[in-house]
Amino acid sequence: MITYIINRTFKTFPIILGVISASFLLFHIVPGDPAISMVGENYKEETLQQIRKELNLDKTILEQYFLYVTKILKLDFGQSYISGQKIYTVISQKIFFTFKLAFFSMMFAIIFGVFFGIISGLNYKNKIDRLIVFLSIVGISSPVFSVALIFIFIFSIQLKVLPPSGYQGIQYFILPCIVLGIRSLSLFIRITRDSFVEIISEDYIRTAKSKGLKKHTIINKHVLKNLLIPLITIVGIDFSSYLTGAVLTESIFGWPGIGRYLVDSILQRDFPAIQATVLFMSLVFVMINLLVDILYCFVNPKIREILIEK
Amino acid sequence: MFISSYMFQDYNVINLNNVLMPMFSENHLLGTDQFGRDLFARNLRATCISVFIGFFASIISAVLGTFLGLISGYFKSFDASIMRFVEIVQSFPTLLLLIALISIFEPTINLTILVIGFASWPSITRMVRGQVLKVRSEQYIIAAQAMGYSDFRILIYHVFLNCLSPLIIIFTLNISSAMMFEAGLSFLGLGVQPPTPSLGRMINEGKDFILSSPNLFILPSLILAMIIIFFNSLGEKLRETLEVKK
Repeated sequence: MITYIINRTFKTFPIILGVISASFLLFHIVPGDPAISMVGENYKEETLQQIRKELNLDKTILEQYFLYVTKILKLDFGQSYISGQKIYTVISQKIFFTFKLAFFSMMFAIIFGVFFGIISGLNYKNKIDRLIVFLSIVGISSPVFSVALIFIFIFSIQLKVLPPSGYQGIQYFILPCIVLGIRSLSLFIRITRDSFVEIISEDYIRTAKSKGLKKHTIINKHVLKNLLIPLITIVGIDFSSYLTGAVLTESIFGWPGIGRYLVDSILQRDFPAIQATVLFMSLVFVMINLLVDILYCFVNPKIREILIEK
Repeated sequence: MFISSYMFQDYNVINLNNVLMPMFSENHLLGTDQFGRDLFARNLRATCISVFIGFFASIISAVLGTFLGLISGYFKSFDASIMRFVEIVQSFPTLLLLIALISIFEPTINLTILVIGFASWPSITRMVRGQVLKVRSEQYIIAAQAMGYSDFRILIYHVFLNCLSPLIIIFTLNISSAMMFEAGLSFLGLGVQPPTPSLGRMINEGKDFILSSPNLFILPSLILAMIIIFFNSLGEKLRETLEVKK
């Protein structure tokens, strides 16, 4: 298994390099001179040349690329055009807020997703099941921002029970977490339901039943454990929707996270900040995928055996 | 009587005398927005534009994805490099990639279509490649090769036609995800530019009037959700019917 983990980790290096190269290339085709956009309209020729030198714009593309990669490896993401702050310090502060948001909405999605999924599976193909399946289809199909606005409209404006935006206390967590979690909540419901129905018809469940075990013991001991594998898969696949969803959710709810920082940078056309944030979030995404693959192999002994044989 | 010519007014005519009219008011079935533009006409137009973008973006991704998938599945020498490329593109979160691309250029409808199309081909390539690998060792392919048919002919007539049914399913599901991406981009102000309406754009503009006239954002939200539900369930139904036949 250790060989597998090492192998899998080595496989991510080319991908990380590809992500870094792509982010370099993307922002190298920016029309216009970044030095001019930094100094503004009334500039002196000397300051322009100086800034060009600072940004290494006077060197060839290859040299610039190597400088870029070495800078990234030193965790130096450059400076913002607008505020002049080091982008790495800004990002490392803001990422915590995003992680908090993602963590709580994932918890919400997992707990309620598994709960409703099991209820749906227990009532397979009757009215309750149909209702839950229909709601989960609606949940998967509704864009994050329209759900967010409709929830703000209902809970903040009509009922006045929850604050519409900000970040001050526990009540500010509820709406953003629910909104961000709704998509994966629906996915969890469907996956839990389908795997539940599949697991229930397995031989070992029939054995457990014929031993006279109680219903909730069977579900707790046999069904839930086997649900872990499809759930972890979905967490891994769905993580990108947390990142992109965070961009939209944070900008609506005024959450001080990395997604709102990205949107603000786009509106100000602050290219180094956009580049660094996109790169950073993509790297987080690659790392999470690596983590999920490794976790996978810990949870499922069958997959572990296959991997070790390979 | 109810559906009459006044409903199909020009979606960009500004009339500052009757701004933010409520629903079911005279001459404006769904009311007007902050510039007095008719909301029925704007919603209709926005729906057309959003579906248009979703449809053509998925066509681009289907063509590109199928082409690369066929090549990487059929010609072993291209396989590894294409699959590495697919992995790199897939390791970017899609919306971020779109945001990065669009924030560089001036956003237009055509650019939005292109960018969404170019960002969502990897899943199609993977699917087509898998299908080709399954088909390639079938006897009729070997027979066709033995009869001296060109690779091109085998690819089009024998391999491609066998990928068609999963391709149609993915294409349908892609329309809804492309529309979701378009709405997200337009919501951030990066997709369709004003005064042209698109559903995401209208939700974005309507959110400023959430207190006084919520119909400005609720209507496009509902339309968007319903269209996406439609394409998603169409895809699911297609999957059921096409896979049962096999």
